[in-house]
Amino acid sequence: MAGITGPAAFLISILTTGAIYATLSLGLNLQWGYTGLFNFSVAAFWGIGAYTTALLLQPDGIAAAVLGPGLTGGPVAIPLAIVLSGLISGIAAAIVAVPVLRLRGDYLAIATLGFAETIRLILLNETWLSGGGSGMLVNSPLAGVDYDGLLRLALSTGVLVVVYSVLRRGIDSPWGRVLTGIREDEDATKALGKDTVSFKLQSFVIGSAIMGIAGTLIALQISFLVPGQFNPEWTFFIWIGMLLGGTGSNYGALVGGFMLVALLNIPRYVPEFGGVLADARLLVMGVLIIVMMTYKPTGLFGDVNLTEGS
Amino acid sequence: MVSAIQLAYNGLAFGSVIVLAAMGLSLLYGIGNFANFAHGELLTVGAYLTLLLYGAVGLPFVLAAVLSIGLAVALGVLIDRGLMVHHRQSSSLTLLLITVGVAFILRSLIRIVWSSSPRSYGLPLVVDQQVLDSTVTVAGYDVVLSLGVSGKSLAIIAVGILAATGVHLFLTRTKTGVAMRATSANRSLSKVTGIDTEYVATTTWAVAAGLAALSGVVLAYSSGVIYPRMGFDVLLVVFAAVVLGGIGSPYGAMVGAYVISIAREFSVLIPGVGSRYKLAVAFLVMIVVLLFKPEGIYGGKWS
Repeated sequence: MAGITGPAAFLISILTTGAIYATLSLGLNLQWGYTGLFNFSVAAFWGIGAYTTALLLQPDGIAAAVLGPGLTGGPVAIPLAIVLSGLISGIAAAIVAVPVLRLRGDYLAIATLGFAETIRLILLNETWLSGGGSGMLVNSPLAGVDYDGLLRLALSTGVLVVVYSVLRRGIDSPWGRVLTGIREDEDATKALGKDTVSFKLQSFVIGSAIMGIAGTLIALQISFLVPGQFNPEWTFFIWIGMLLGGTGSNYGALVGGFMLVALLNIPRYVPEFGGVLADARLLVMGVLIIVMMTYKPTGLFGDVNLTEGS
Repeated sequence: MVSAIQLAYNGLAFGSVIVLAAMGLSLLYGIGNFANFAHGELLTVGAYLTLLLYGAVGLPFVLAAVLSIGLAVALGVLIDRGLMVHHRQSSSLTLLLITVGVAFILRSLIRIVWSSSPRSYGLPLVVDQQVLDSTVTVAGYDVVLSLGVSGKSLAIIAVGILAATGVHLFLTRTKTGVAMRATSANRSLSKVTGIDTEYVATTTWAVAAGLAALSGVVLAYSSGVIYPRMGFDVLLVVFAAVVLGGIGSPYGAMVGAYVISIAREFSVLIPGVGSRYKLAVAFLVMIVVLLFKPEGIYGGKWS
């Protein structure tokens, strides 16, 4: 990185990643925290966004063949990627959710597990599209620019601020109150004349579109995509961040994203962990999920009015 | 050209692995009212315990498998008495999330003890015997009739069918089994009629964990490899079987397991798809079932 090196550059990179996790956490919190919808596909929607971005940033790849020259490859492709990543993730979310939203809540969990596995298989097998297991380079227009780390931080923070403000307004509106009503008692909300299935679909699609947008940010940040970055474990890392920060609170979800980046990065500097780091990390995550759900299901800054689950 | 008979037979063998896990998952669903996302890890635990007792301790394979199933039953009881008992009033989605935590803990412990590299029981290779090998012409098309059968695949099918019969007898002929069916149908009514629903819940965990461990051993025996994600990798197929059969119906799960597994084998006939998307077939079948018949084949009924 030109301009900034050493600890400052590291701090910038951590903050950028934190902003991305916070964006994901906000999307998940809209689904689970406010509406009570279970999503096992967080990483898959994130991955769809990231791979969409990588394809759009290729100057003469598949995206260029579809959209025509001029749009892909250059700096113009970044805003286009943000829009398209959100759009494609949102459409995918609708396809998964429509068959199951009328049914009991846990059908959505099972269907999204299936979707996540399918996306993982596609990313691994369709080498022409995703580069397969050997990965895909992101041809970022920001790479090599002076202060590129700061630019990415500004972009990620900007997206986070926009998502946060839009969600806050949405939740404070009558629309948001219907979602909370569904979480607390779907039958009662339905009895008040609300089309709860339609509201659940909106919440699920918007939440997943936010995850897709976070995919654009991570593609620019890590600059090389492999399917493993988007496996189900990552879905639950985001879950942990949201659960720690607070369910049913946008502020809590925001803080949770930054707590997650700390949680994932601090153990790196504890030398004793060594090779068992990844395994121990999973153990800590499992214990955290159980402890949070048993003793503090609303998290640190969660909605105190939240009755458990839905 | 692939032999359709062979695909159906392979599906039957794989279905016999899946049916073991699906029955337990369905019982837990019906009685505990939650989707157990730790079920895949229970399979993995069974496979690794057998590896320990057979490979490291040196017990005969069948004895090692039986002891592993016993240990898995104890693990199931431990999960219920130690953890789930505090969550009897929790919502089904809270329970689901807790089982994800259990899955993470089990998988990480397996990785810490055995590392992530694949293992194997190192059992002797079994070669298929060709029992059918001919081609007939039907209406101008060549139909390949070929079937290879091995003692291994026959043993797997036998285990699956015996276990399904055993579960059926348990549910219909024993007092505990009848109590389980009653609890699944109506928990509070069962409680007021004097059924010990706590005992039923713990027994269900014991039975489900034992069946899952057996499924894991058979899966490792059939595929030849043991690795930490092996159970999670088939969990989607198990869920698809349960959804297809009708959630909470162990009989539906039995049918669903075989239907999904056979459909999965036949998917290799679809041009351009091949065997790489076998897992996605389970997902597609599940989505189609949820669209058109969400209550499944048996619609939650127990008989």
